Amino acid sequence: MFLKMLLTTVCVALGVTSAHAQAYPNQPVRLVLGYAPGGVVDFTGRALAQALTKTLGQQIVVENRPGAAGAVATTFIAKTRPDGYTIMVMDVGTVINPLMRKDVGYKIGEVTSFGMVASAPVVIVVSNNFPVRTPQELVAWGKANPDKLNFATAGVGTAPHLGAEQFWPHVGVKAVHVPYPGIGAAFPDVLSGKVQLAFSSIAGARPFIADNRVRAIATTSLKRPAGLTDIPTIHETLMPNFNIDIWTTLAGPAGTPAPIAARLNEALVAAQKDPEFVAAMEKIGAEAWSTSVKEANDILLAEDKKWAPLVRAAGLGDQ
Amino acid sequence: MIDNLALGFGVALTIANLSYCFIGVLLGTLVGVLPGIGPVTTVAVLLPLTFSLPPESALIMLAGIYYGAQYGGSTTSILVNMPGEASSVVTTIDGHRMARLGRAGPALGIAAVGSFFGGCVATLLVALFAPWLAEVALKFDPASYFSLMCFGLVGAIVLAHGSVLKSIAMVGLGLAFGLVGPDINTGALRFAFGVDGLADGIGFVPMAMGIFGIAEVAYNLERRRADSTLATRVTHVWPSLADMRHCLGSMIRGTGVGSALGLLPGGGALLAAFAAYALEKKVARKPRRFGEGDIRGVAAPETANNAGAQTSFIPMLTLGLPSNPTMAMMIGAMMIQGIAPGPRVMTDRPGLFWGIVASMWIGNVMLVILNLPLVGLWVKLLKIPYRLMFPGIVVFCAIGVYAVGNNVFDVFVMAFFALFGYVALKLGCEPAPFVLAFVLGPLMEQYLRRALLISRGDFGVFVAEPISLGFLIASALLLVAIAAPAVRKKRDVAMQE
Amino acid sequence: MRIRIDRDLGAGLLFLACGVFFAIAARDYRIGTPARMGPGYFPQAVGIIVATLGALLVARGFVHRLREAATLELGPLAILILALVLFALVAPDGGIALAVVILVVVSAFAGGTARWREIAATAVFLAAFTVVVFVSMLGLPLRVWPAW
Repeated sequence: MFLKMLLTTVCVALGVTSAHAQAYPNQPVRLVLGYAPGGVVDFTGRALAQALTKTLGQQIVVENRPGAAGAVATTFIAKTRPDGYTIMVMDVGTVINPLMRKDVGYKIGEVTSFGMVASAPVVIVVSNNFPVRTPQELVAWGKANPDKLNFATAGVGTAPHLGAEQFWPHVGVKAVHVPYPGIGAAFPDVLSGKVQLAFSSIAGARPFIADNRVRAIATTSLKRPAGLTDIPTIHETLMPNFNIDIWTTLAGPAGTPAPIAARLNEALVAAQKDPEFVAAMEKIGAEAWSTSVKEANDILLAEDKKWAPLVRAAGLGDQ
Repeated sequence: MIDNLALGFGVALTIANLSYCFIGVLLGTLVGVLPGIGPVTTVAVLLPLTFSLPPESALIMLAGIYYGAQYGGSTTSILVNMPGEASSVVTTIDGHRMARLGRAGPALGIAAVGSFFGGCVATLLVALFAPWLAEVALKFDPASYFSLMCFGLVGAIVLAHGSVLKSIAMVGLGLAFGLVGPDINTGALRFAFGVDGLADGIGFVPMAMGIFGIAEVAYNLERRRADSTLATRVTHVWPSLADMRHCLGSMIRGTGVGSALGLLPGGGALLAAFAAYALEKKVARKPRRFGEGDIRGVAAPETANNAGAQTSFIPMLTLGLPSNPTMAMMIGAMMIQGIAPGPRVMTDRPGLFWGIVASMWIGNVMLVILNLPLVGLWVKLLKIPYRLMFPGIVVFCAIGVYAVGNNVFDVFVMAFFALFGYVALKLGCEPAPFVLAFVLGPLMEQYLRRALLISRGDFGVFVAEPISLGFLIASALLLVAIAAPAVRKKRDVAMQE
Repeated sequence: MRIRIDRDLGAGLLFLACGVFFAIAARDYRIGTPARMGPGYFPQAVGIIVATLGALLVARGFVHRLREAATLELGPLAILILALVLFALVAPDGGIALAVVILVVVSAFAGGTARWREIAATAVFLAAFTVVVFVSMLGLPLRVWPAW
């Protein structure tokens, strides 16, 4: 039975070969995901694929092309035909990869967004044996104990890491970044207090917060996220307009005709109202984020501008 | 405890879940036997299909694939010297040697029996001590992990039965090749030289297939055995009672080592098979026979392997910590089902937790029933003349490497390592230490740098932590134990001259 | 294609070359300090260790010259590598069935005993097996037949 199901999936996948644009879309659309199954991007992409299949009126076929923090998939998309039949869901890596690596196979101008998909805030959690309960206390402790503070993130160039690199200089505290391969791996060291705090996705930290093994002291969005409304934001306490989120976007190759981009945006915005999609995003602590095509591309440009000096200053990547 | 297990069996023994468990172990065995296509690929392909299943069924099936592949993985290692995964590399050392001596049957049989033994005992441990064992993993800090990796690498030197100097150099070279790819601390891309295929590092499967599979074929062909069969005669199909008795101690020690290392999420499970083999070689009477087709050299790693596969579920289920890529994908599967892996799974979803534990035991029974009858069939394969068999080996290596991502570059990587493996073999450098170091290298660097980041560059952390200090002392003692016989041998040689 | 070399000398040269290569290539990356290791620190250290061990083996090889000689017979290996390269070049567009047939036929030369009917049968059998097991049953997304 399974093999049969598999077979049908494969057949559908192979069916996607060439296209003649009459009324877009007149054949299945291939949705490329930049990470392996199991991660946030994969999860978001698959949930979106189901909702988009309804709103676009065509089968969306998901294909994982993991590798090099999404650079493999983005390069593939940048070089593909801009006909709207091969698109992708990606995260901040789209912008960060060309900033960090010399020989990434694409430039940021070679991809275009059809709209943002979802965003999830970041939460700052501290070890239970670390005597800090508010963001202000954290800064005070950091200033009183120079060169003692360590913070964990899910890796170099992830949204939580970039946010942290922006946060510390602003509050005048020096802290050492300890990157982990995924935030899950960081928790043993955070629980034991070797690393006092972590900039984590809400999804990753939730079970530990619920079990009182770590304390959430701040979140990083402008509005307090659902489920953590008693935790202050950095925006309201220390750094107005500080807004770091783990976002995902629906994108394709630059040069995609405007009518196709508009059709995709329309279907995307409709899909974001799908109750199943909303529920799926809730499971990973994210929220649908609806924008126009122009807004989304402006966001990508703004992100590129915002992170370029920081990546250089922090000495990330090949340099 | 009895209540919990009753609850678990209640979940696992439904017709639907029994079927999913069976599908899981069947697929696992299949992909374990087919070299190259490992559990990671299989789970990745099947993951989307599990979204529509209840979480218990989905995880029972995925778990079945994972430990089923551990059973199947030994088959090609023994028959044709092709390890599909890091954990079955050790099995090639004595297992394939046994096959050449006509004892493939006993080797395969003891692998199945040992896996069953290790799997069952470890499942029992999980059932009895899961909450308590989870805390053990938390006692390991980056410094302790680094020292554990050191211990593992010294253990890798024990694997080889040739020159110690060459083994150490092979370990170093394995570390170096393992470092190709992105640096986790800075994001810099190392030793990729602008080649896209190296942007994620060198894949384990193409490397291992080249070094073991293809290089071995070249090595066999040059000795002009193309018309003969691989095994000159096949004596026994089953392990004898004496074999079993001979292996009992190895299986018990293997279970202990495997269960303990499986608990450590940061690479511990990888070490299980290597550590068990190294331990056997050190404690056994007549250790000379290791590497020459000693059945204990199959029993110990295979038992440890499976025991570790079971206990590695503990940090995954109770702390949300994956010990390998397959486990990471299972965490993804749980998150998609709306279950956050972590300390609360056991209390919030007891049916899920105990259902998985119970299904592991059922799955192990299924596996041994499935695998033992196959032994006879596998042994018959060895009667095929080598001139017909070796193209098959080459085809399986090529498909296994290429199929995972339609990846042409990985086929070239395999060809490169075939050349490297052949030359190394000829020059008396054994591949097993290289492969272990290749896998451990990136982890070792990661822990070293993490420990020193946190200590601000103070190397004292490695002796300040008791666990870390313990492993360093153990490594030093083991190194002395290895060096001593080598020195003695040299002196003997000198005396004879 | 037969090469005869002392085992210690050969292994030493291999390690020396690889070690030097990694140590020098690591200089392209920041080395850093123990507290803040750059991407080059660990690779450089490993490269130096491997090179040193290689040098030791070379020295040992010179002392006991050709006591343990190895004969490298590169013929069969070269044919196998050629077969794999052809496979990799054909598979993406030519499909897996044709690629397997080419792989089997070319690598059969490495065996030295050419029996054409047998090779043809093996090739067809393995191609069919590949298509049925890997593509139909396991659902791997491979191209089966040529694209042209």
